[in-house]
Amino acid sequence: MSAGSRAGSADDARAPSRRRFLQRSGAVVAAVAAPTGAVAAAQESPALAISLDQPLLGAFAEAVLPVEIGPAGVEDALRDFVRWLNGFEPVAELPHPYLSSVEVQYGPPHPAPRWASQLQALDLRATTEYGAGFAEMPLAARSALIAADLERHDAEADFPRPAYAGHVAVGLLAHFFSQPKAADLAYGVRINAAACRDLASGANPPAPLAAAEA
Amino acid sequence: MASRTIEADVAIIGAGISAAMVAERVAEDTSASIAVIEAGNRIFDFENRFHTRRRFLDYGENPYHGDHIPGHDCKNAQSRSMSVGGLAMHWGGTTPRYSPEDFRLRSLFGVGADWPVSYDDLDPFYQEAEERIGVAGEPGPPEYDPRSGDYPMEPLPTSYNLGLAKEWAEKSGIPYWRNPVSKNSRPWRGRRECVRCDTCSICPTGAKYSPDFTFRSLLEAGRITLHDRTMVRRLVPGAGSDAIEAAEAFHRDDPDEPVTIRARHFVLAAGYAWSSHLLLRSAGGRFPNGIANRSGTVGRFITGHRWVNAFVSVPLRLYPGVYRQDSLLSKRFQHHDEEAQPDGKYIRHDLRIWESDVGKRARLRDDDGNLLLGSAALNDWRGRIETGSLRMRGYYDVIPARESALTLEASRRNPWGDPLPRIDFVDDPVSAELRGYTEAKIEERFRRILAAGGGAMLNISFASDYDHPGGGCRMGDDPDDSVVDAWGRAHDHDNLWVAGAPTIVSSGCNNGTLTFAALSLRTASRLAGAL
Repeated sequence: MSAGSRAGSADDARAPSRRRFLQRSGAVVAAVAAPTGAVAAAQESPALAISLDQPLLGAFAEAVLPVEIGPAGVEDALRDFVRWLNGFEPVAELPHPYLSSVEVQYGPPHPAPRWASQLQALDLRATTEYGAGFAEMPLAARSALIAADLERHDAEADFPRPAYAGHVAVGLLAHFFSQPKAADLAYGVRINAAACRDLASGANPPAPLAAAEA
Repeated sequence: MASRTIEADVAIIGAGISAAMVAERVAEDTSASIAVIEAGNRIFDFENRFHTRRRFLDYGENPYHGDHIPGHDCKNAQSRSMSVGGLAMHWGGTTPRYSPEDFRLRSLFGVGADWPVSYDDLDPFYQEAEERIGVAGEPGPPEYDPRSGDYPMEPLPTSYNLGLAKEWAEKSGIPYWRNPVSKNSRPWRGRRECVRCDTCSICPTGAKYSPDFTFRSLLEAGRITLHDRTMVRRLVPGAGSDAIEAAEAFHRDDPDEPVTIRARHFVLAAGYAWSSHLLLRSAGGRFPNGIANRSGTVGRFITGHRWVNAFVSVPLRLYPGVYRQDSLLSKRFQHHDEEAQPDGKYIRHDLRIWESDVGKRARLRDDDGNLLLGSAALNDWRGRIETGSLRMRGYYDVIPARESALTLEASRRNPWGDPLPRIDFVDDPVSAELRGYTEAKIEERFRRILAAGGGAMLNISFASDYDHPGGGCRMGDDPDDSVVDAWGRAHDHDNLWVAGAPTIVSSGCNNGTLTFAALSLRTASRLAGAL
């Protein structure tokens, strides 16, 4: 038998109108953001091309992500981020775990419109203040500009879940650091969190990264 | 007006784990026809669970689409979920038993009430529940964790992190052992061996038990009929008889068409909130206070326990993410002795430990508030993970007051016009007076463990709500002070039974689901004999 959610039932028609509004408005705003280019990572994700400026995002990611992951790592991280963003469903229903609110909880609206406008604003500031587009600025200058922007946004110390990030830099970093491979990089071992594995393997310490990749 | 009738020997109202146990046992012991009635949807989507798990991990989405009824809720209830399988769809699968002392609080400690059954009475049904749902575990010390039979399955191998945590914690002299779980350490009753996906609330392999497996199996065998999206509004006693003659219901897709359920026996297995709700909703005629409520205790003595929770930093190199679901358990302080209850005060709690990454995650600002981007954030993370962190918890028993109650709110109604319930948890004066003392004592015991093993408290918090609640139709020998007898049969109605969580007298210090299942099987055994 298939899933029992029975989309389109009489009950579903009573879903909160705010949710329906946010779903629609996110889609509309994402659709009007103009595409201006593409990077290799984003070319595989056409849906993002209509919401975030790809060269700008690539230059942005280089300035935000750890240097040690290198250009290939940045490209991988960006591809994962883009794939995640494209799969995001605005205002999705959240789980009802024990001791949760009796009110049904929903996730945030789509972050792409907000983040796209922030990227465009960064580019405008770069052009206005430094006479060059953001993507053409030196790496250190890009990082400094982003840091200044984050300070204005009063970013919190702890990373939120990516979609809740107020600023695109926090969203990208939160996504990067929430991935199992980021934890592996930090710990230097192959923890491979959230992967299904045979029962006995969890009894041993994780293998060092070099050995795991050999 | 069109109407529809469902007829069966046994009508089970509700389709959670208690209903699954009753249905399976009665189906095995008798040839009775069994109808299971559930207001929520059937979410038989096991085939999709790798996908829904992925969405849960990536986006935090609810993996059980349609597991609630819009506009139909109980204020202050533990969860909004309502579907075939109930809360045991997304439970963690943790299955400790209650302790022998839990059944004799009045006799041993002079507080609360004794149950009309003892631990020994329930032991064979605990064993049966463990067999049916498949429990893997290791026995604890017999003085704290007695059992007459072996666990059905050997425990899941101890994860690396938890192995270190156990050595660390036991330096305090407090014994810990593995918390039993309904997750298969080997294939069990057609379900796979666990592969530690570490998302037990959405188990993609079926290694964790959930009641949908039981219902699907019974449906395939033709032993039950399952009527989902069918909301029972009222139990109707027969004219001139105390027996329940019918249940009035409707289908959510056609609310204007009445559904009448006729059965020789009715089993109310709708959980602690909705079972009481239906009995109170059925008031009228010769039963002005509700069905099964001559004692006035329907909806009362709602019970549960609170917790004290702490995250601690420990001098161990741990790797969070290997298997966060696994936990250690100690029942040392549930026992009846001077060390557990110093000063003669009633304090009983368990102790639990899990791996954690609290304080060990990447962050955007350091302790001085400096912004961390890129390599600075990664290096800051590396600098904080030479030591590990653990989560400690103690569930402590709270004696429920009679005023701890579910009531109907006339001002709040569901989309079909029925009044909705609310729960107000109220401690018995003994527990209210001891609350601060109890929380301080548990914190002191956390600090004893930290002092012995090394480490520091990162933060500590204290629950305001009851966890693992039950009650509302409590069992007892005295019809003036309880709703059902020791077998779950209503004092006031020979053919009405209440199964599982609503019948418990108190909640002890451990997760309740296995006890609910065991009580349901005990009820089913007596019901089968009555058919």
